[in-house]
Amino acid sequence: MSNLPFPQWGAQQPNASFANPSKFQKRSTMFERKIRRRNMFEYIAGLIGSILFAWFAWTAFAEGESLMAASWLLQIVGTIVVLLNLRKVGSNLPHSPEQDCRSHLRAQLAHQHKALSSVGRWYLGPFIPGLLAVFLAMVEITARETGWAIAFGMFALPAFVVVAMFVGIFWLNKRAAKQLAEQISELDGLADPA
Amino acid sequence: MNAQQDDLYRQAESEFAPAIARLAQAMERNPEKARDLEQDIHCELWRSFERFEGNCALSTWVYRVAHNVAADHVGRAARRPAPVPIEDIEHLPSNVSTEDAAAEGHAIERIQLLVRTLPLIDAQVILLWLEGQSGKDIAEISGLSVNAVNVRIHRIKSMLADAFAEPDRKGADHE
Repeated sequence: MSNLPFPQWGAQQPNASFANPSKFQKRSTMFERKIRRRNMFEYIAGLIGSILFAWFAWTAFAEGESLMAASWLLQIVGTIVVLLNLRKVGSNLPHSPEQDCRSHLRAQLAHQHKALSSVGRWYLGPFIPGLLAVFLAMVEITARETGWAIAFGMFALPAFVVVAMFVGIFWLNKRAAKQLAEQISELDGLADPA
Repeated sequence: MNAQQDDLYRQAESEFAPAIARLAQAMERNPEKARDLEQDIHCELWRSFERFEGNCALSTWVYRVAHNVAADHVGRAARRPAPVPIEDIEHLPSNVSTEDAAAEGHAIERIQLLVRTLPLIDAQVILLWLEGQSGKDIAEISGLSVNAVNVRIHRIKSMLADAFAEPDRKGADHE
């Protein structure tokens, strides 16, 4: 410890030891536990959403509203596509903690940047056909009694709220992606020039 | 488990166990989580030794794995305040009065507070320097240029000098 620049620092934890490797066969790291919980949460959320949509579809079908039933089925398809995309986009990078710290951090940031900057394509996009179809089906059902103009007018505000929510999610993700791009660029500036 | 993996693990334990415990404590304030982080590092080190082919020094390998596991842990902490770059910090942070701050225990506490305030890459450089690694070794472990490493070491030395009046001068040899 005598060659440490700040000896008080090196005086801490003098008797520390490593855990017995036999524990590691069954041990999950905090990271692995967190990923398992996240995946579980996503699948449960997807399952609950799909069950709800299926119930809506069944109710609509029972009432003879086949366009509405098809719209809810389209929502189920959208949910499944998002879950599949999440598996791909949200999956972890190949595990190699032995690379240098800057490269490791950069790879994590680049991975997050890719997911955030393409959120419109893999997360929001798959829901759009189903949502559009649900709105059109609602307008069509209402229009039978009120006419198309009034029906469209009645659903304009809810449609606007949903569109605003999508635009908000898109914008927040793009902003976060921009901040990550700046961090990546700063990290690149710290490396030896190639 | 193969014999080489086990040998490397034991060798790493004899050389780096205290440094890894200090790293975990510096990165994670909660003692229970710090202990968990420390064991995660042990686990990842043991797993990684299956891939170790001697292309770098054992110390480089151990510190890279340890710091990257700690960085992943910190990166996932949802409530971590926004980091402050080292060039924007004038003095070593403190939660205590100036008199108390001179006490040895508080010195460590203040350094740990600084580590938790800094962006990850800055914190890694500071911690490696505190463990007695040279500027060249830190550059190899961190992937930063030697110049970027030296700038950070210079900053921490000034902060320690300001905070504790007479810091150990041996650190100068490590640049």
